[in-house]
Amino acid sequence: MNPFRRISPLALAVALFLPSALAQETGLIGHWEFSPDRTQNSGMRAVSGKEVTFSGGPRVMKDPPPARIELPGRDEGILISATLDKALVPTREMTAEAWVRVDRVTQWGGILGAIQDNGEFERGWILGFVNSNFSLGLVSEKTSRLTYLSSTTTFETNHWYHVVGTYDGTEMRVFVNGALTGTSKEQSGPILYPPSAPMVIGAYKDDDERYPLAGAIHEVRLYRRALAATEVAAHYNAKKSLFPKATPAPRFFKPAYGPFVDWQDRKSAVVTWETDAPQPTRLTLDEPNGSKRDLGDGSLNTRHSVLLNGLEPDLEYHYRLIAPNEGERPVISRRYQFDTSFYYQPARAAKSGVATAPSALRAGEILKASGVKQGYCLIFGATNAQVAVELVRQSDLDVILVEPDATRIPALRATLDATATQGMRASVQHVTGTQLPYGDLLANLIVFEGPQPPALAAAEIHRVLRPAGGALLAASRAADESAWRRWLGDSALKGAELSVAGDFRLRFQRGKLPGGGEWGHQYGGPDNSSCSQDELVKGDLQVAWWGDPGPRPMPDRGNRNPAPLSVNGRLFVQGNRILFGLDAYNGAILWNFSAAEVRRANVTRDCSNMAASGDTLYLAHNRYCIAVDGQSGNRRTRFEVPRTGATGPRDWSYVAAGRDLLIGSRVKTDGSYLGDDGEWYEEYAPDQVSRVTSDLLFALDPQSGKALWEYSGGAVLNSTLTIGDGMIFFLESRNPAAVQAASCRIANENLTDQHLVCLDQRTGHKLWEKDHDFKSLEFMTYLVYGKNTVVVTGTDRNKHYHTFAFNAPAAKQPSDSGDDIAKAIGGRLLWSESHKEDKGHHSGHLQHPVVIGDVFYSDQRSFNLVTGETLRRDLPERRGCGIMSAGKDAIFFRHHFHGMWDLASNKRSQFEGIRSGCWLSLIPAGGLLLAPETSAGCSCTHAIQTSIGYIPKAVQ
Amino acid sequence: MKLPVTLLALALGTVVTYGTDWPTYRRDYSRSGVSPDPLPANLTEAWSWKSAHPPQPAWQGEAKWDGWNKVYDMKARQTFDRAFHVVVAGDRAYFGSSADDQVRCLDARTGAPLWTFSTEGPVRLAPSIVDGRAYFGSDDGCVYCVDAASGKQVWKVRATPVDRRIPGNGRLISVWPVRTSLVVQDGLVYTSAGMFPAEGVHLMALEAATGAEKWRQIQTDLPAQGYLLASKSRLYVPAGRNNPAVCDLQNGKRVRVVEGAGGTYALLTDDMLVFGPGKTGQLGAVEEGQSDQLATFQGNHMIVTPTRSYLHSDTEITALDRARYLELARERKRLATTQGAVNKKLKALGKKNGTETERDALQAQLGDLGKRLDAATLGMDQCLLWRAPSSWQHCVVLAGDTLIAGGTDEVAGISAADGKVTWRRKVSGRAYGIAASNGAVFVSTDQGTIHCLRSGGTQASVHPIAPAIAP
Repeated sequence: MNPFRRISPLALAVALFLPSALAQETGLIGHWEFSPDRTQNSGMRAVSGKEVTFSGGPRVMKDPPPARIELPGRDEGILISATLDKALVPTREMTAEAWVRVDRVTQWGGILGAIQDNGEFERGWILGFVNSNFSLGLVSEKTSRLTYLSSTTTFETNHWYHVVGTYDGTEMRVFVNGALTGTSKEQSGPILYPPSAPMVIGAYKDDDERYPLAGAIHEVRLYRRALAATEVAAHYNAKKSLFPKATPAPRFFKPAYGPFVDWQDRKSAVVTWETDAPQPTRLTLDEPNGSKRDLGDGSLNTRHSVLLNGLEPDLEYHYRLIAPNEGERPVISRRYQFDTSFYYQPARAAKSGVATAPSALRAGEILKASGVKQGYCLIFGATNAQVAVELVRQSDLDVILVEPDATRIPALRATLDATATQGMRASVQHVTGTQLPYGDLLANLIVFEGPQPPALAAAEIHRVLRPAGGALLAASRAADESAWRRWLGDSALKGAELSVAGDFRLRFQRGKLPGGGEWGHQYGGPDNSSCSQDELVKGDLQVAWWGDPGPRPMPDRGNRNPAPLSVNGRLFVQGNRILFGLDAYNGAILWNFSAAEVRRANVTRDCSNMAASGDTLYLAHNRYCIAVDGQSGNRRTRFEVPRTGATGPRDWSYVAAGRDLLIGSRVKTDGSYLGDDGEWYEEYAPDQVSRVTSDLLFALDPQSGKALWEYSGGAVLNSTLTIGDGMIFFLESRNPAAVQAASCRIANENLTDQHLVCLDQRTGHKLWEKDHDFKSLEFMTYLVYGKNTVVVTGTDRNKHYHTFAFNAPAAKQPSDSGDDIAKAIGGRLLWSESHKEDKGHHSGHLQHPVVIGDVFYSDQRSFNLVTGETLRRDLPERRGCGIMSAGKDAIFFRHHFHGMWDLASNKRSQFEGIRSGCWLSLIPAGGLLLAPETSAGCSCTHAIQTSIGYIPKAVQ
Repeated sequence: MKLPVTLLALALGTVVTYGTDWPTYRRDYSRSGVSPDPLPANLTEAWSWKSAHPPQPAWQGEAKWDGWNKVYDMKARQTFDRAFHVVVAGDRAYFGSSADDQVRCLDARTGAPLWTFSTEGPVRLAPSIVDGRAYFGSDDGCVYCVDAASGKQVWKVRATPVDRRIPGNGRLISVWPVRTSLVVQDGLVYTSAGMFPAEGVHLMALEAATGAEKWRQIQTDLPAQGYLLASKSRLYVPAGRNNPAVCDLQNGKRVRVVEGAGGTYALLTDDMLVFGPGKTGQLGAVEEGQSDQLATFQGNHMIVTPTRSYLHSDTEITALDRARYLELARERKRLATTQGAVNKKLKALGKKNGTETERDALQAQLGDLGKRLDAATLGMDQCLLWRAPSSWQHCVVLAGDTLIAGGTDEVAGISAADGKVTWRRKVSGRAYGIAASNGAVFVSTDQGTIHCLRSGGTQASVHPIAPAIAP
């Protein structure tokens, strides 16, 4: 028995409240009570013992009580000693004690410790927690292996607890709030220490790992003896009144729609959201400087809107939506983030300056006649810069005056300078000769202001004109029509309109690039082939454009997030709860808005929340699918997920879009993976490989919103939803347990009784189904379609690929009696194949296949799609964690950098210095290879992080 | 410009300084940020100049987090163009603009504009003023030499054989923008053009007098972005987020790429290259002739004098006994190398090979090495001369015995002797650039404002260049 364990409560009380006396407390090594009164430089004086050093800027505060250090759980650190100081380490007995509040449960958490747990090398001790149980980890000379003794009780987040771990040389004990809640006799004898380890507060930290505590600490004490139970209880009782009583946990609510944040100007933005019932909801804004703003008029509405003004640039703001309390229980949304770095509107011209009334009129006519207001505008033959200035004022165009005469340039620049447009919005470039210095396909608008057709050849002008809507206007009518006809000659501009209305001599609008493919769905087309059918992206590529969005708005490494989409000359990029629309040909940011509830991860086991067709981006957002205008970003309309047969809340999940058909699926609310904690989804664990399943498929008319059909037959694996040649394919589990599961995220063992199902896309009628054993597809299940063949593939837990190909004859016309016939001929197993993954690292076991024509590319191999004949086993090495994408003539992937395999030449190339993400972010579409930035967060020192477009050197 | 009057470390050929001028970014091609001249007392704002539009940095910043490693608030590694950095020669102040593509010359005493020179793309880095000429590059892909007195063009050279312009960082610019500064030394101008290795990144030397090409090397693995550094024999080329390359000044050939955590901030001392800030605000020090790091420092910037190093982080400035620190750092590096070798031997023995005695001997050796490493580390900790809290995290220079640190909306003077704050002055925005010359301090902010502080400055005369802009 330790003779010092008998301390009277009175003596203890004196010790607790008289720090000078406390220094005399027996066996006390250190006592750190966090209070602003003790902070100094970048650390804090101890009540007793060694001072601590802070890093990462944790906040020490005492209002409201208790005094504490707040730890958001990021890179904050509290270091007692970088090395093991003999004066600081207990050797045979010990007590670690703390008042702590944990705000986020993590697998491992540290309050106070000096530890190394590196593989088989286990040394030291740590007071902390394992998931929701406080714990003491300790290793003695007896075992050389750590024992993590957990409290038998769990803790709740956001509550204060008194936690103590003791070791008396024979027994480990854990106390919570003065009560003994765990014991272990696994360890005995002296504590075993490593040669070196940091002693830290507020983190589980050793040489290999660091798990920061998210929460707060009031005080920490360390003794070189084991406190008795009575002492522990006395410590608890002495201070428990300092800590707030537990308040009712808030109920989190999710708005019915939104919130969205739309920029008004550089310093203001509007937040909008909707509630199902009229409610006086408000918004509280946390300013970066720590102050709060309470916004909203509290009126009884379903549609809510708040103006955020006075926003400072390049800062993070946070906000919550607040609904009326339920009794004493607060009702609040989760904490949303809004970053004012993500402002991409063009700079404005000066309010006053050069008077240009006729030019303003002319600029208005140009914009109206061309229909172009964004991107790059080249003006040839300008007599002055006033039209350029007015174009800047009336549009978002970046205007370039192309001037061959150097003597005229100073005057043009003077006008731009006087209106503060020079540089950022308008510039004068001195260009001579017969070739323009500009890259291909980049100009949204080209204007000839001179009296005559330009000296440049029409073909050269056509070369730089953007496809899919780029406009050419000749403003002057001075030259006659025949002069213009001669200039047009037999060039690609020969279809231009001459003598058009509006005082323009010539107008030409360029169409889509022939042979340019589209990437409107997660894996290219709805057939999941990961092939855009682009015929142009091949051979040698060069940079076409680069710029924002950069890494800051992006999720970490684009890890298994929805892929970017590109249709009709636009590029749609989903960042971390922020959406971007870009001009695919020059990277101009057309629009962006913050959508706090739009987030999806682990599409390996789910599906994307986006699809694009024509001028519309369709975006699944909680219960809705929003139709976003591709050019303006306006949320044009929305469709609500059907409620048929639903007993609880449901969300819109899968999206496939065509001209007259919008196909969706329905999941139970809050079942999608979000990936907010940096999850990698690479291991075989239930919380990583469980499949997201839908309970309803449906189709509607995207023009009218009219419901067309619904299908319900089981738990549909979202990752398998595939459309081709008028048919919809998927796997569904008919295990009643899966169908009735509370969540849409279902573990593999419950996804039994799987069927491959084929529906008619237009009617929803089942054409055929196939009962097949797919249980070997444990890690993931993919499905692709091509050439009347549907292929199901995935890997087992030993990382062996298993692939099954079935015949899938094209759908018949709708017929009440045709279903049985189709059943008879569809779903026949054509071939199957199994092999151990070739790659062996960086998610080699999760690779999504590619189908180009009749070749099926999977892992490092290729097969004949219809026969299964192995064609190659030497696909180019792909070091990175991404997956392949393809056009008709090339496959794109990440090796070390952006990589390309030209199929015709069998040449593999890389674009040094720049890498893609950990899923799918190299998009061949519209004659370009588009690579929105997805390396964000990478530990590597890749030299360039940018969105970029590549163009074939021989595109035209 | 005044003639050179001070040659530091001439034997090593690393530093050339110029009296009281500040003729290039951070005053010299070591990017020391050190002026020997003390500041006068009572610095107050004499004038300020504000751009119609703030600087338009090429790069917005790093990702918010590294989810895999749980690293948050990662540092921006490419901050070379967040302000219009000022250089000063005599009574003239010069700077380039990433907003309006111009290089300007102001009267350093009054802030009055003297001349402007337009290019066809953003000018992201400060000019170098040498022998009455201003040398600079532009995103338009050209290298310029203009008369520093009049702003008249002396020569202009397109840096690459091909002129191809495409949208880049929101502007129609060259595929090969000039995004390193120009080093002008011994009659030659050293610079680079290009940032995509696949397009070729051109390192080149031009005749300072005519712009004629002396040599050219094309990199195909690294970009070139940031302020170049130079010694008498080496050219140090920042590579954006990556680690700098060291090249032979005579022909541009690559000597090595140093190891580290990447970033465009770099400082050349007489015997080592310090650069960063990596993703966490960490500076790595690599000794001359080496590739691997000797030491790392938690900080964003560093000032080095013969006896002291001043380390500047987000929250504090610390002064270290430089000689002792380096001695211990070298000792620690030697010990760590030995420890690695012993560990390797132990691993090779495994559980089945070798005898228990052999393993015990190696374990004992490891234990001893561990203790000596700890002692060296502890000794390094004890090299601290003083530590002072700082909320001025964006920039630091040393003028005489005063450290001048730039923060948000404020700059501060701090005694280099003891870390005490001696004065504070308000500025508009985040102070990313400071120059100290001829008794004046020039502060450049991310709002596009340049503040000139002088002794007895009595009033702020603002020189707007354009009417107010709508937000």
